Amino acid sequence: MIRIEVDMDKCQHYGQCCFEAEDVFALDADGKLQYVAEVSDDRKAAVESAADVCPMQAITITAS
Amino acid sequence: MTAIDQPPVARAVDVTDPAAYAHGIPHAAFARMRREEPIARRAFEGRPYWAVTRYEDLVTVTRDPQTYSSARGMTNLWDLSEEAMAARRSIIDSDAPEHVRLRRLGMPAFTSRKVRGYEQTTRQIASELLDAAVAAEEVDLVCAISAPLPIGVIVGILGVPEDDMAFMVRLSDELVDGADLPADAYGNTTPLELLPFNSPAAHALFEYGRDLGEQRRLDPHDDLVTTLIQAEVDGDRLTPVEYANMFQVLVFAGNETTRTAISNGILAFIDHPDQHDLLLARPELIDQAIEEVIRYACPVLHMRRTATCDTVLHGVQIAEGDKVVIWYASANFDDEVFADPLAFDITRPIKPMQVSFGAKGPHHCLGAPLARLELRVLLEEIVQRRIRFEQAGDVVRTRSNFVNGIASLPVRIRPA
Repeated sequence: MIRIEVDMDKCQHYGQCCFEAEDVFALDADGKLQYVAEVSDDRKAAVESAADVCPMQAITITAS
Repeated sequence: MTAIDQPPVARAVDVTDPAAYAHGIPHAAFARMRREEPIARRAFEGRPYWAVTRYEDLVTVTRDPQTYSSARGMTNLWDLSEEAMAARRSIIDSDAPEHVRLRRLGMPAFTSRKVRGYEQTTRQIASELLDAAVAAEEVDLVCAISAPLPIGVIVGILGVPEDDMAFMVRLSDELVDGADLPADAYGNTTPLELLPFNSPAAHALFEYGRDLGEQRRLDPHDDLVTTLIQAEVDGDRLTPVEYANMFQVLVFAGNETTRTAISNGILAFIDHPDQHDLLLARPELIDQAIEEVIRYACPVLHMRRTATCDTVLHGVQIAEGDKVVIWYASANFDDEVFADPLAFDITRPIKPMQVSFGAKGPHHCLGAPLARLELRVLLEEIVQRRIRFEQAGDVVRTRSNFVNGIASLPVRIRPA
């Protein structure tokens, strides 16, 4: 499994991560970021892309 | 002149003077600034600014948009009136939350998945251009490949008709190197201060973008102009000024910067034939080669920020309102980060990463995946054809302190 953590103090809700892994990250009706904290290993590439493109570099990924 | 009149050391090079880039980035001047005065008090057109030249400090400034604003004084070296800023403000010259809104509108066209979908078209354009260049044997690389490849790709994404490609190239050239254009070129009547790059070419781009937008509003296509015209975020749409600036930025950024990366990249392979041989022998080095081309080419030389509060950067007191200029042209060659930084070395590790795209701050290049795709496809097609380039005449550089442009690069194409 892969653990995902978003530093909500850094996050500005750009939503760029949502385009890279739409099953993991989403903006809610208020434009705030919501995300799944744990995903299976086969989502690794998408989640890494999401962390990579985050304009605030707020996403941390760890293998668990 | 007697020995006494001579200054003890050569006068510091003014890195904002376009003439300082006549032979490329003034590396010696930047090396000295990094070493002796990494946060240097300098002046541009009589007004003071801080020149940030080290990698680490550039990253600090880039990733702290709350302290270092892109909106307050915009991102150009020049100081602009409030009226000019309002007319010229683009996605580049904004802070959150406006920046978030504009970024969300532009983003869907440039996600990894979307960009993978552009590969086939990109390869087709690159193949046709390379085949024509090989057949011609001797070409100006800029006209034959560096300019038409990126513009061919971006016009397809935007939905600009192919017949207007050359016009888009000419206008983006004139934005950065159009000092000779009369103020009323293209029927411009807007005061130059209200136009991006103070250029009447920006007026022409605005007008063109507005016309195309109007056509797409009436007759929607599957293209980015239609997306921008129709896009709604939180119930509101792009204003006409926002749309015009977004169109201008996309044409300019989708064309000028990748062109600069290609021209400087091929020139680097010409100047370092061992690296060209290495890529032919070991095509698996392509990811590293792409990053090295982007580092070495450094298409955008600097951006400007404005301090929103008193702060300290690398031990230097910065006051609220101070202009802070971050020099990618220096940070990409910082020897604290890159071993032997002036060497063009396609085996260089990818990390630490070059900062040409903006060092992973909020303004990190939206089109970075597209730029990488275009470079990848071009290098792959060169490798596949087993060709090499030789210089066949003088390099002509763009007169600019903002883009590391090459106006002309005559080359001969030979079997490798």
